[in-house]
Amino acid sequence: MRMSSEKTLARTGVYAFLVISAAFFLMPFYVMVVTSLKTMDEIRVTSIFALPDTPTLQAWVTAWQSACTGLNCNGLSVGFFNSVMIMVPATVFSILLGAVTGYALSFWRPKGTGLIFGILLVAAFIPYQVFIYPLVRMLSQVGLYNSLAGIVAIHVIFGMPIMVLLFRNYYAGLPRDLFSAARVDGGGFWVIFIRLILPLSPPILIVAVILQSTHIWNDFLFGLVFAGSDNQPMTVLLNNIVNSTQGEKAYNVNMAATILTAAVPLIIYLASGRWFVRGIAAGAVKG
Amino acid sequence: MAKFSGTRAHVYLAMLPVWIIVLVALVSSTVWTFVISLTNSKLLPVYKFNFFHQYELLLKQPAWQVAVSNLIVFGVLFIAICLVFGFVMAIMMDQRIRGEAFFRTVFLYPYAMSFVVTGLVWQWVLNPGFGIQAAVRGLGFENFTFDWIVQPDRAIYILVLAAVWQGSGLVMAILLAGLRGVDEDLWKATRIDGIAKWRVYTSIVLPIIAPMAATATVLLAVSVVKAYDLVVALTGGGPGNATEVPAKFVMENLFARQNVALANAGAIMMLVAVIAILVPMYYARRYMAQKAEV
Amino acid sequence: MKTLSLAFATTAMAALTTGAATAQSAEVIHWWTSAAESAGVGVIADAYGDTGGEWVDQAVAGSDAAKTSAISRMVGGNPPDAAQFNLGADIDNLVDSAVLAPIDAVAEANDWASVMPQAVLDAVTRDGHVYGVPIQLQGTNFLFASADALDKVGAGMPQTWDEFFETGDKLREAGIVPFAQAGDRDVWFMNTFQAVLASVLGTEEWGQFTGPDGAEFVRSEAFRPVAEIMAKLPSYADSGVSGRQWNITNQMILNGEAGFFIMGGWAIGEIGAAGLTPGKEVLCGVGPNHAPLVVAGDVWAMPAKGDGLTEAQAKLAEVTTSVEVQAEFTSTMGSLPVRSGVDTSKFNACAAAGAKAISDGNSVMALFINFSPEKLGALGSELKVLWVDPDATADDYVETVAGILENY
Repeated sequence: MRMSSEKTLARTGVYAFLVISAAFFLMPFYVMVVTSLKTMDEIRVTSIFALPDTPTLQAWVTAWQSACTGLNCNGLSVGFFNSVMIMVPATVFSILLGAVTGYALSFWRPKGTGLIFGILLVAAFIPYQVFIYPLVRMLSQVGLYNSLAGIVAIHVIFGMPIMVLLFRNYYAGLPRDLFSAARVDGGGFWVIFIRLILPLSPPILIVAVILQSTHIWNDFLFGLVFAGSDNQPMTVLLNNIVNSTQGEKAYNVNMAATILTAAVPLIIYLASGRWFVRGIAAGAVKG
Repeated sequence: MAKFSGTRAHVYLAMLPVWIIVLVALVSSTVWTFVISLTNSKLLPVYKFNFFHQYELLLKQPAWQVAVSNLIVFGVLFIAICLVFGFVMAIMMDQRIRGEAFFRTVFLYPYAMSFVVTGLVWQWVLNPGFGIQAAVRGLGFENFTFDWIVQPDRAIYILVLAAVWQGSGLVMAILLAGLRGVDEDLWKATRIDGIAKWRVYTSIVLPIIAPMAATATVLLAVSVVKAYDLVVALTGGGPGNATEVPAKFVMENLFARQNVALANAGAIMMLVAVIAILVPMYYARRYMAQKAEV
Repeated sequence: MKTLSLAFATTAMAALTTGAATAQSAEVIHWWTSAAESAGVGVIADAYGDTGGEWVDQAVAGSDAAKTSAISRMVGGNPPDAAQFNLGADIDNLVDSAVLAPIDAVAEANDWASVMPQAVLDAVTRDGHVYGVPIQLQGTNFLFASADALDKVGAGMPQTWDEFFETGDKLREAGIVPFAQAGDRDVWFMNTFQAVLASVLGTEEWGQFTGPDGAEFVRSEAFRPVAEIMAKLPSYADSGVSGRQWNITNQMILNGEAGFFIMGGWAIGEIGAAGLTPGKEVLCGVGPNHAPLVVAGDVWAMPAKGDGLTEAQAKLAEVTTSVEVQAEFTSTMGSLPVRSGVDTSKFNACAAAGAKAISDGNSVMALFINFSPEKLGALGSELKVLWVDPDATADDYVETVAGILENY
């Protein structure tokens, strides 16, 4: 009896912590949602926390299909597919490359491991804005400047430091005996990666997807500079809607546009649930 | 033996793309950045050298010194709070709770949002005129005061608050991934031995997921050094220069002030500082590891 | 010169007659993205389209982002036909790097020398060549006031700074913020300073401040009142300045929450958008002391593509500066035309005050015109620091401003 009441107390504590934390995280979101449902006249006079008098979805409709992003007043919708076209290949390639490199660095330790890891680590800290001009020159020399392939390449390049770091450190936490046993069994580089390492990787793969897809989806500067006018991502349009310096500011449309732009990463976060399952690693070891 | 060398060849083949990226894109761009910092380039790169003149200018600027010291305060607080808060959240999430997907999404969503607008929302919420302070006073607590965002000596903590809001969910996700990688048998063993759960987390699990904690720390540190959007959206560097940071200095000089050389000198200085912190840490860890093996 | 303009006329004619068959597309990067701004750009785009050309719109919000996009495309060898820059020193570095095409032919053919104010023409001329197409002018130092707030304390629009501070004291007693200041960008502090500067110096002494002996002038008695007003002004603002966007300050005036604010002509549009009439619920004037209008503006920079100006570029330059486009564009944007001969009778009270100041010769070119972006940036950030320092004295302002004029 004592045990179970203690347990109930602990469970209550866990949920209390989670709910209070969630409230902290959701507070700005609440302000964004209620603001997006108000008219500008209402925003000018009511408290930011007040619920809308007569909620309207007009701002959402405007943000999606008729907000002006320059001469074109077609809202964010235009950029949605461009963003998908950029995000999917760039995320897949950078994660693949990161996983293979992280695996090679932590288990095979080829010559130059320390050097390459050090350079990647340091490179992660450079504000990449300063890289714009040299990269523009390089890409235009190979004919990739202002193209879909070019922007994907840029994301793969700048995703590399973080991806390699992520996978190498995760693999460093795995028991080395597993790898040694597989080597003794005569497994080659790719066989061990595919048969042993990948099945152990789902939790870190999902973190990598969260990181990379969000980074790429939310990138503004690279999209602006490298993607070219035919491939403009959603964030460039979002910026055009919310960021005009001297024009009037439609806060309701801005809030709706921001939530809409974040929708894809949010869905990824929500869907990643079943991959975060405890025991996958344990199961793989036994099986 | 032949098979062995064949496998080795595969290893080097697998490493080829990353070597190309590192050498062609990252190293050569960094060298270029350094070269430009030695010139007097304004808007477009020109190769008229005046060597360390930009560095002299940079180090003499009070704006740069203020930005660096702001960054240290911000960085230490932000990383420490994120790690602790993120770790606690990860542990709570790991208690086989209901609604895990909901909580995970709630803790992570700030990371998905462009700071251009969420920064503005924070600014509204924290504005003494119509944010939390005004709302609480409206409830009858006339003397309630929460105006740190407009106080020069407090605004930096507001920056930390908003940054923790954005970054701690990611730390939670990474550490949770680490926790999920911990062998189930370990838990069974400790349960049989009757060891308290919190002790298992702090003294057994934490060392196991240390590499993941290191990853999280590096990610946080990267976002500290690059902190820019947050500052621009939340405080614009103010009040006064209370929340100016080096990345904002670099960005301003790169574009608005049309001083590419000085901006690049700033970027190189940031890089030097990062190396100065990372290299001793790397050797210290290697030394500890060697000692542990002996 | 005659042959040049003749040559231009022939090519223009050729383009007109062949029409859409040889539609020349002009790709244009600009930062006008809000609804009202888009409508303004639409005026130029339509006029360009009417000549048979095709307008390819590249809008990027935020001047820094737009310039980044334009400059990186110049670096990458794929420049747009035209890119928006600020009138004045903003294009100096582009001219120095020889990436722009001179627009002399169009300027001569359309007689810019006689239809544009000399100061505007000077601001786009480097070494005798014209390197930018003036698009619009903008007054930056309008003093707006809430008619409601002034009524409450029984005051009118202040004619001098003494009156301004007197009214400010009364407003404060009535629980109204006397002066609303924006603070999300350093440039707003620069803008306020510039307005004070103009109101004290007038057109005569303005040149001494921007001239080579500026630092010496700042340390003289003539500058003293500027420093004193600047040191006094922050105590008339509320504490929420930091991070505040300019349109929030505008709202404070619309709500009657604040008495005064200083902003450029673009605020006039926002007043209209809120359903109020500029000049009625919101009073406006050009600074106290019959201040000269401080004029800034925008230009098209035209990157060189091969030999000199392309036909598309020449046509865009001509269309932009035509009387018809200037009239419609500036009334849509709430700005001022770059040339004479434009009918300003339909302007609202605020914009008309600006237009009158220019036609009366009571105007000066903004600090953006002469000062490098670096100098302006330093000035803005230093002024922002002084603003929050409660102990900042007039002497501090003198030393800080003089120091920047010396060092940059």
